[in-house]
Amino acid sequence: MKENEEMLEQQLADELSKIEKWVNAPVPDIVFFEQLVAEEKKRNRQQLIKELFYFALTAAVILCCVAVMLIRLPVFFLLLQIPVMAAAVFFLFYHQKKDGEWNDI
Amino acid sequence: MEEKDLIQQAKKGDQHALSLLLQQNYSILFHYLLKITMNRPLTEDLVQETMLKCIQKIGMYQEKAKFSSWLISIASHLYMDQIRKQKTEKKYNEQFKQARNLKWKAKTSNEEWSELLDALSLLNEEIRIPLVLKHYYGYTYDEIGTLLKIPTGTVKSRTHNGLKFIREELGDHERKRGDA
Repeated sequence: MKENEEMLEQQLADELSKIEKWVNAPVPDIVFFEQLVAEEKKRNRQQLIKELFYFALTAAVILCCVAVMLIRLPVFFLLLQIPVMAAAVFFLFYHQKKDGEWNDI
Repeated sequence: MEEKDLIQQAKKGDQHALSLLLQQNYSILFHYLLKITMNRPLTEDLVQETMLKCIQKIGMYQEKAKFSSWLISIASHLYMDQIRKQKTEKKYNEQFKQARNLKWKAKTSNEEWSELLDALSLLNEEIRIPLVLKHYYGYTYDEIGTLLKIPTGTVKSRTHNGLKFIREELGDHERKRGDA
């Protein structure tokens, strides 16, 4: 029984190694990889700048609203702190539990 | 320059070092994806996607495992994500198309497409991936669990079920041949 198992496993490895022979995959030149890396890094940088801009814009809008509320409606401002604190605690707890998707293996 | 040094340089932002790393691991990545997808065009797309993901996330690579294993992990997740997006009906059609694609390649190489590969192509990718990683690449159950982010017990049961399915399929073929 164990011999059969080992034979099947060996057969599987042998058959899979044949696939490499059937499909030829020439490795592209280093220039191709350099272009790919440079383009992707450029795209990522542009994306980061865009996201930072939207983040700053949103933060500015929120801060303006908070400032207006603090001056005009101080009681409402204090009441708002309770859900904000609860959301912050929940976010931190959730974030710590969740592993980064591509952290490492 | 050794791989370790290249990784260090790449993490610091050296584009040439990262390009060299990708070039050195291109073949491993391509052949791994070909074995699990059994489809060349899909493999080419996934290789490209994996490399882009690697460029984005190189700073997060913690060097606990080999660079090629990290690429295999990314590629496996990208493939499974893509499969999950497909509808069940479409998925089965794709499965047959995939096998046809490689069968043709086998024929042009004057090789025979074995019943074992036929059975392997019929397996669900969630079973096929751990099976290939275990019995072709020689990863341990624990390593596969870490790579695919699934418990070790699940890896064991999936590889066991995969082998069982292949054995049954091969048995069916033998019986059919005997009847004929």
